[in-house]
Order: sequence, then structure tokens, then C-alpha cells
Amino acid sequence: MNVFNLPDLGEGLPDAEIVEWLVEEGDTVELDQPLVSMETAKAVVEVPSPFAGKVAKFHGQAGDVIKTGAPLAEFVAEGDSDDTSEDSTDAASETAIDNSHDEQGIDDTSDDTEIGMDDIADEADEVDEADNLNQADQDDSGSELSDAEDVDLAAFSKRDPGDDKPGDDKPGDNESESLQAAVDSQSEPESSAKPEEETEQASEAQDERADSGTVVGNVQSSNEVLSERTSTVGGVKVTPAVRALARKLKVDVSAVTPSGNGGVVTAGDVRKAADEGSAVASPKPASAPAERSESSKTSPRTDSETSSSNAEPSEPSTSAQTREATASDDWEPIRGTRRTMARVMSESHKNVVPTTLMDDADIHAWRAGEDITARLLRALWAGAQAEPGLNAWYDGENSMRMIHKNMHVGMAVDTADGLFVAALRNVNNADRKALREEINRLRENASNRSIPPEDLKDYTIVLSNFGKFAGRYATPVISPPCVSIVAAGKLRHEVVPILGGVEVHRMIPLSLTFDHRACTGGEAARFLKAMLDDLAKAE
Amino acid sequence: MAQITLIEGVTLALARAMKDDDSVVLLGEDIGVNGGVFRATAGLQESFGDERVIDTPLAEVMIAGLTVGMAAQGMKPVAEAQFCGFTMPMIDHIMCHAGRMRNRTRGRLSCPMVLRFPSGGGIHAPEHHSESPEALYAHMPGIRVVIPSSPSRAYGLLLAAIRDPDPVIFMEPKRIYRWQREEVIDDGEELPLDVCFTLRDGQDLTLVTWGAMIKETMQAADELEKKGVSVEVIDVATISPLDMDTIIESVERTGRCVIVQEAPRHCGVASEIAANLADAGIFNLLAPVKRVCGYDTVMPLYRNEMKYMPSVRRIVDAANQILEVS
Repeated sequence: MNVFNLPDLGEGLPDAEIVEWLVEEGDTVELDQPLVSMETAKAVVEVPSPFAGKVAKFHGQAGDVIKTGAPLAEFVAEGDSDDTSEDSTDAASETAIDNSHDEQGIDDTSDDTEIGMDDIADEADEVDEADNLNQADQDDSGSELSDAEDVDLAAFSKRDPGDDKPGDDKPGDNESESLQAAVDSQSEPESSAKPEEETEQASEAQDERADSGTVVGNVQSSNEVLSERTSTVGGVKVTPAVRALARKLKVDVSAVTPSGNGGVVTAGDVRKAADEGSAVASPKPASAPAERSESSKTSPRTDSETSSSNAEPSEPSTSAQTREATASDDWEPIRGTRRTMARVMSESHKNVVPTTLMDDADIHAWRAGEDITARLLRALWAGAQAEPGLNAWYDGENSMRMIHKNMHVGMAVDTADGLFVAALRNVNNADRKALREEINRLRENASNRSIPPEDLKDYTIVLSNFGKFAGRYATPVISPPCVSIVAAGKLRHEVVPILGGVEVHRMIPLSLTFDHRACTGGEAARFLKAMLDDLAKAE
Repeated sequence: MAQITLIEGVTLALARAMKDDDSVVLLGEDIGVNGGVFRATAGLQESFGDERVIDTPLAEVMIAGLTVGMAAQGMKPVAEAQFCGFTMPMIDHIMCHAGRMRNRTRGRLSCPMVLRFPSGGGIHAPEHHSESPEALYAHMPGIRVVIPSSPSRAYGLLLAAIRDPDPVIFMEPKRIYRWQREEVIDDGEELPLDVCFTLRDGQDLTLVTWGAMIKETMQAADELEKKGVSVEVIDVATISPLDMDTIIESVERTGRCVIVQEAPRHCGVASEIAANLADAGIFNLLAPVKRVCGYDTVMPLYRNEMKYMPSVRRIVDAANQILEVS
């Protein structure tokens, strides 16, 4: 015998009134066949039959008010006999329990109820939906759902398993299986496939009920005891919570004296250390990538080992380390390019009489994407055409100078190993694309130190583009025998008075140093003027 | 000392906070007589009375508004939403008022409130009960987002959240409410709200996760350790503000990182962590950062639920994938 309890027909409605039975006692009904018409506070609802079989008994007539969750009708399922009446009694008493919870649980689960009812009213005839609901109610029954949804869905769970579609209810995960088992063993013991296992799982589910008190869903519970691992940091043991506290208080746990059992650092130890300032953590325990990759796969390290290996002086092997010179408080010899630089600069300072002119090139007319370096090179040649005396070499000892027909520009290339001045040949004749390729080649060669010596000499004038980093004007230093050097500073926007108004133009600041032994101030100024004029052109 | 579950840790912290500070009040649907939908507030109304443990009508917007108002005027309200999906109508109050009260009043008022709610899936609950909306809240300025993953962290972090002078979203991973028991001392000690918890030390790989995914992640770590991989496990716990220092420091050592989150992958907290690793830690990475997440779909119902959630297998697969890279 299957009992159909009145489901919640609205949002937490306590009861409903029978308007009309749509079948007679003793009729055989099909699953989802309209069974009864019920009036709630909101509407008249046709309630479909949750079972296929014979209607054995009505629990009320038209006009009677049935409480939500109370028995509405009893069925004899197809192929069922009266010897299942014991089970139906169980089911009824279970319902009573649910119902008692229900009075408290109605409000808080109204949203759920809405879903359940929508499904029943609108989609009950769709097999897939019905399957889902069936699955759902089985899960829920195992976890003591006490809300209204449980009641209405519970009706479906009493459906004879024989009506289930083949292949239905093959739960993929363990939770569903145990819940499925719980339902089966409670309501249909004789249909159980694996009685032993299911009984066991059912009792587990019963244990859960005692603890959970969960209104919706199935929260797994266990008595597994969590004891979080302590980790060893710098030779002392800490729990995650204490380690987090140490991080918060910026305390280096490895420097804290542990007071806990077995050398465990306690929260109190960390607080004490923080108050006393006795174990201040360094801002960030950095570790070099190279070192990490070697040691990561080997034996476990402690943090103290890490810090000691970090403290080792690094070999000046990689470029990064050369640049970021390590401070040692010791005298150290200078080598290589740095030594060359020192020699050349001293010589220049000893002999050259440097004079510097500065001005801004207005590049407002340029199109987007213009190659600054290429334009500067062209401007240099324009300057040299106006004043060839700056594209020259000077020999002070013999009082001679050589004015060059062609222009080979020494480009200052900044690399990790120092500054290289690489020669760009015949700038006056090369087209822009070839120049760009040549610049890139020199730059690459310089940075990987494969630049041939012949590329590093015999330039006739020098261009420095220091403004990539910072700085507006400079007093660049001439490297003899050249007589001039042009340096470009950081490009900027500048307010420019134009025809009584103002405009904002882009400017490249230029600094020209010339050797006053070899050139006059007038020559230098005209050279610079020619450069500015050339740079002001749109292209 | 008692061995308690995560949800009992919540109850214990609530009781302790109410005992220590008269301005702490609880409000929510059925939290009083009924003790809450998951029994987080069981027994508290009996102990503290119905003026401090308030059963509200079924009206989330009103709960949020009340909470913000009480907090701005000197109370320390702790509101409960029954499920994460029911907090959506509260967002206006949280984002537009709670989170910017301090800024809007130029520091004159603050909003020391806590909104607690269960989140995450895996308990076969109906629609809009099972999402993990931490990224939504983490995106709101002025709001702390905290997710405990053990009984002791539930206790310590909730105490800290209640005492914090700013609004805290306290998301409780309901799937592991009763998963494990842990010794928790009711000593009123709070845990820091802005650092990650390193649960396990390792050299080869960092697993980063939070909330209920701790369960699968720890199991994955066990499995990987059996194969000789040394795994570090970090419980983020405080989603916002995010303690990237701990994660970056770890990944600098291990060079490999898998982030596990239950929420959908797109624009999640895992993505934020991965982006930070790309920003600050890329020179220490030996392999791409992997995210193992839920899918960019509505959280499925019942039968497909566990297919949606990141599994131990998916985590181990992702780990193996990047261990093969270098």
C-alpha cells in the first residue's frame, strides 16, 4: 500500500481544500493522471497521481481541508499486495516527523518549494524531468528533508520501482548510492538488489540524520579528526595558524624560541617575539631562480639553508649580476669595457676643449610611428652639409684636421657590460630601411658581445640617445679624434606659442658638444640649426 | 578542549563574540527558534534572548538594510543568509552602502558588519543554493571576503570578522560543515584576516585553494606525494584582500602552481591569482600556471553536480601536466 501525502501546493501553504476528486475509489490510475482538484489560498490546482495503480482509499471528500503532508489517498501499486502495509505505516510515520518539522521550516524554504511545484505542475509528463525529481527525492529522503518540497517529492519516492524507466537511477557517485539505498531499504525492502550493503548504508544515513539537522540537501558528516600538520620552518615546527600569525606580525618563526611540546612554536611565542621585536622577518625571502631550479627536485631544504645559500657572493657571470654590482666595501679592480671607458674619458678630458649647445627640435609635424633614430641620423647629415667641420677628426699634436666626405656615426649602445660605440657606416648614403637593419644588427651584436672590433672604430661623429631612460640635456663627452657629439634627451610635450596662441608640441631636446679647438661656436650653432630644421620636417 | 566540526566552530565563535561584546547581534531567517537552516545558531537564542538573536521575516533586502544601518550606528550585527543564492538581492546594500560607508562619510562612520552564508555545492541542494560567488564580492571595494576551511579557522576567522571595523562577507563551505572534527580551544583568539594559511610545505609544486576544495586538494596532494612529488598546499582563506606575498613566495620556491576553485573559471579568483603570478612571479615559474575550476555554466542539479566540481583526478592531472613541462 502506498500513501500519497498532500504536497505543498504553493509557497509554504499549510493546507488545501479538496474541490473535487477526478477519479473514484477503486479506479486504476496511471502515473501523472489528474487525481484531485485542490483549492489553496492562491489557486485551484490539479494534483497528478504520483503512482500507477489502484486507488484504494480517499482520506477526505470534497470540502475537506487536508493539512500539507497529511495522507490524501492510498494506492495499491501495480503488482503490489497488501503485505507491504507495514512499510506504508513506516512511511506514514516518517511523514509525520517531516510534517512536524515542516511547521517551522515552511518559510525558510519557500524558494525551493516553488521549484518543486513548478516541476510537478508543468513538467511532470516529461520523462527526464520526472527522473530528475525522482533522483532528487531519493537524495533528499536520506538526509531528512523537513521542508515542504520534501513532502511533495516524497510522494514520488513511493512510486513503485517497477515503473522506473530502464537505466534510470544509476547514480554515478557514492553519495547518491547510499542515499538511494537508504530510500530503497526503508520503503521497498523486497526490491533491494544488494540487501546487506544497503542496510549498512542506510544505517549510516540514519546516523547522519541524528547529527545533521540540515533542512536542504545532504551535508556529509564524519567523525574524522583533523590534526593539521606542523611544518618545519628554519628548524622549528609551526602549525598553519601560527605561521599565518607570524606572517601577519612580520615575525621570522625560525628565530622564535619555541615553548610548545616537541619544539612547536605557539601563537604566544610569536606574539612575544613581535612585542619584543626579537625576530623581525626580512621583507621578502627572495631566492634566485637558478638556484631554485637546481634544488627543487632534490632533498628537502629548510629555510635557513635557503638563506645561507643566498648569502654567498655571486660570481659576476651573468649580465644581470654585472649590472647590479654587489656592494662589498672592498676595493676591486675595474676590467674590460669599464676600464676602456675610464681611459678614453680621461684622455678626452685632458685634451679636448668641450663646449656644449642645447636646443629643442620641434617634431610636431611627424607622423605617428616615425623612427626617431633614423631621423636623428638624417639630421646629423643635414648638419654636416651645413657645417662639414663638425664631421671631422682633429689631431692636436700635429695641428691637423680631416673633414670627412662621408659620415660614419658612432652609435652609443648601452649594454649590461658597458657602453659600446658602434660605427654605422655611410649614413649619408644609406636608405632608411637599411639603416634600421644595421642599427638592429649592431645593437644585437653589442648586447651579446659578438661585435667585431672593426665595427667599434673609425666613426666620424657620435650620436647618443640617452633620453630613452631619463634626462633632458647633457654635456656629452667627445671621444677623440672626433670633434663633435650629439645627444638626444627624453622626448616631451611642451607648450609652444604659435601665432599669438599656444599649442602643445612634441620636442626632442638636443645637446651638441664640440671641440672648440677644431670648430668655432658659429659653426656649431649653424650645424645645430640645420639639424633642428631637418627634424622639424614632416618627413 | 573539544573536537568540533566546522559549523560548530561557527556556533562557538558566535557565542564567544556575543558573550564578549554586547553590541554583537545576530539576525536572519529562522536563526532563533529554529537555530538556522544548517543549525549554525542552535541554542543561541536560548542563551542570549530574542533581542540579540533575531528571527526576521523572509526578506533578504530588509535583512541587509537592517544590518548596514545597525553597523553604521554602533552595533556589530552578524546577518545570516540561508544560501548564497539568496544574497543576490542584498548586493545593493553590501556594495553600494556597506562597502563605501567609510569612504562616503570621510571616515566618520564605518560598517562593522558580517554577512554569513553557506556557499558551494556538493550537497545535492536545489538551484541557487550551490554557487560559489566569492569573486562577485571580492570585486567590491571596501569589503573583506573570508572563507574558512577547517573548524579552527572557522572559529578564529569568524571572531576576527566580527571584530573587524569593516564589512566582512563570511562564506561558509557547507559541504565540509561536518566533514571533519578538530580540537578547537574556545579562548577568543582570532586569526589574521589578511594572510594565507600554508597547510603543507613542499618544493616541487604549489596547490592554491580555499573553502571546500581543500578536501579534494589535500587528497590530490596526498596522491602526488605518493609519487614522490613534494607539494605545498596553501589555503587562501582571505579572498579579499588577497595575500599574494605568501603565494608568490611559495611559487618562487616551487616554480609551479595549480589553483583549484569550485566557482566557474571565467573571471574567478583563480584568474586573479594567476594574473598576479604572471605579474610578480613569472621569472620564477618553471611551467604555466594551471587553474582547475568549475565550468562556465549554471551550477548543475543533483546528478551532474559532482561532474561540475573539480575532482581529485582533475587536480592531479593538472599537476602532472605542468610537472612534465619542466
